[in-house]
Amino acid sequence: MTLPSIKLLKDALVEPHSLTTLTLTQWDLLVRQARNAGLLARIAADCQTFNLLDDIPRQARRHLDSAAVLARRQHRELRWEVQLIEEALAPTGIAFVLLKGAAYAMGGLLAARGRMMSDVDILVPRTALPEVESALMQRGWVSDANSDYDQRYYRTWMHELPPMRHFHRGTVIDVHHAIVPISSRSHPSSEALLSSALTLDGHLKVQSLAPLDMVLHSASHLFHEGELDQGFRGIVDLDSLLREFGASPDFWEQLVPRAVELELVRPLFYALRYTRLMLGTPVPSDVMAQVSHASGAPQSSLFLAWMDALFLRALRPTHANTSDGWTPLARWLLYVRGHWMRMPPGLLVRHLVRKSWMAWFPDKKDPESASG
Amino acid sequence: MTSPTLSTISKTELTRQLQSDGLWLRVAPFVFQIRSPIPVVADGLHTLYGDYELASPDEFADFHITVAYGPLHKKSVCVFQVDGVEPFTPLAAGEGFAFLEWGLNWCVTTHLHTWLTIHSAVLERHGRALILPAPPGSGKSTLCASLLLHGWRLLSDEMTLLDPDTGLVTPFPRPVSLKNQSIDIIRKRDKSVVIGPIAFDTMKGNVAHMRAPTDSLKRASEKALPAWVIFPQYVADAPASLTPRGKATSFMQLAENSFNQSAQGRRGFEALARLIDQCDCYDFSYGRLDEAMAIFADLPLPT
Amino acid sequence: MTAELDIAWRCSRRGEFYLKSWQDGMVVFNAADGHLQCLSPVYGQVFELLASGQVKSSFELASELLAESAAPEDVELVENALNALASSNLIERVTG
Repeated sequence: MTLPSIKLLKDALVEPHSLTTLTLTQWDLLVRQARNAGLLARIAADCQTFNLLDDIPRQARRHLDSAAVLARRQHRELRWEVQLIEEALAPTGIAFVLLKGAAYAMGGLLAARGRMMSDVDILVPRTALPEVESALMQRGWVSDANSDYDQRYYRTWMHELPPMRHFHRGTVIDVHHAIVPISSRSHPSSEALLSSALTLDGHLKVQSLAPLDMVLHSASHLFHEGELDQGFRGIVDLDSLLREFGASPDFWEQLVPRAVELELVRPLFYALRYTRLMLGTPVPSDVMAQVSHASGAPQSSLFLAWMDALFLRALRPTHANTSDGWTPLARWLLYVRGHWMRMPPGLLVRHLVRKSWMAWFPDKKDPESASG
Repeated sequence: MTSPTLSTISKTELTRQLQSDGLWLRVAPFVFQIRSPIPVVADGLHTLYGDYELASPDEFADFHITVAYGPLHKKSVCVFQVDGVEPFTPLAAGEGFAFLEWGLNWCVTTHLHTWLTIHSAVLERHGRALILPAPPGSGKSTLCASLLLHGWRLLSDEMTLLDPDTGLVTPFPRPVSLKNQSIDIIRKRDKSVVIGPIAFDTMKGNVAHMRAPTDSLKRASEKALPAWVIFPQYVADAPASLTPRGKATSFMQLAENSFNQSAQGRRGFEALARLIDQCDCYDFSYGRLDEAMAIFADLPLPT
Repeated sequence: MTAELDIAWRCSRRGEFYLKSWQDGMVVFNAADGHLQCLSPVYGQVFELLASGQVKSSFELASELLAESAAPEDVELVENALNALASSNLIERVTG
């Protein structure tokens, strides 16, 4: 079964200059695909960087410019939010590490170009959790978990506090103490991550992960987590990070050893494999070979073929023209797999069933508390 | 040479296009591709969009819209889909055409930010634009429809598209929505108005649309410089009264009615400030349309 | 010299403020957080005196407003405005 083409979107990302050759029909498709994949502002940012905007048809340009307006606004709000979080946590003296989009934006990384982001994710030592939670509550953040069940799920099994929402601004912060859930099969050391973290310029207690760890975290987030709706955007993030950090000579040398140390070989393997396949990311062949032979990498070629089928379908952007009929199933399988990698199997079915039940009858009494 | 308009194709052909490759329509300043199997959608388009130009599938469509039946072919409800996304919960199938209209407004205000968009009606006379910001229930749509019958050109009945660089309003004329008694009131004022399908018992009451005057469509490329910002309030049987309103409070009220002033940052703030600077701002209350029309007929230009 | 003369103020460094004044008030937009607010004409005047970023004491501000040396009652009135502006996160007290 051949999959519909996402060549248009790929080319736009990998070779922005090709955008000046597109027909109106191609622009029509690209704008829709890019918007659904959360990449329209990224394309707009590339057009700006490479001075291509004047060569884009005005009909399409309107949409690009509009996406850029929203992304710019989001970046400003993010910077404001980080400032307020910094002020809230200052009394504790605890340094916190920004993760994902917030880290890319505050660090001025290429991966932040035109990136839309909502929640702020931070990493702190597990022992600091009570103090951090308390400091945030003092400044107006409130735990977002809907029920006792969710509270327990997050605190017992996941790697984070339940998300906290600011009562006035409505913004959300996710406080993590590890980058994968406690209940997961691999255990990347938070101490290792925190001790390698780098303080951001101009800040005292705001940090980001070291480049190697940023890549590994992005990989583990994409290939462990359950949510795959923005899967293609995750691949684009990884591609940006690998290209930017890959320019430094030590980076490729240290990448696989660090993955071994953090028990993240498998997600790194998938990250390198699929960024190469989908976006032509320049991963050196020796590094690819190295990760394929490292402990934890998938060995069975049948298994790999099956994962290829699942991932390459699921990683495609959600748009009528880019997904074939199989994709919803593939996503669901990966969602289950994502959860499987996090939770011991017995708990998994119970959680998924409960989550869908709650979505349909939000005002029914919580059965967990009823049964005691 | 102008392109053929929707009125040049038969209702049968229109229905066929809606049910297959889609109807490509130029609704200045946009192009839409529309699909729908629902008869009331075809009715509405046929009755109200006759003067709009057909576009070609070779063009760039700003939005690809489908108003489809509910899931599992549930024909009592309909859903609005744009570019593969379903932003709203289903409505009764009889509201299909109204859903299309609301959905189009949503698409533009959600995805286009090259203009500062303000929730308001906006009309033009002698090159100057009148902005009527108004929350629901203020009588804005009746006022707007009536003004159209009294020589004002329709720029939009739902949103002002303000260019932040030039300060001009870009027209986006479409069928004018009317609710409940307005439908009859406007029909009585001018028997020649064309009203499209009525959606009964929607969340907003009974909703129908009045065909936009042809002149408004012909001149859709003519932008206008704002001159008046008038906040209307319908008060039954009250005498019509136009009272000047402070500019700072007018600014705040307008900002509250703006979809994207904050998102635009400094640029949005300055565009709104310039708009308020150059306009005369008023509160307007009225109980009888005739009196209202007389007041608007004599609106002085700002000095 | 009273203790009031020692309280100093400046425009909040957290914000990026844009102002516009009319007869009935001043609108202030903070581009850093997207927040918009409207100040009365008097409060607007006070804020505008600090908008350049300079640090000024309550006494200096009162005197600037009155175009003459301010009496303690005047300073107290201006301080009401200053406290209100501070609680709106437009200005901040400078200590020490």
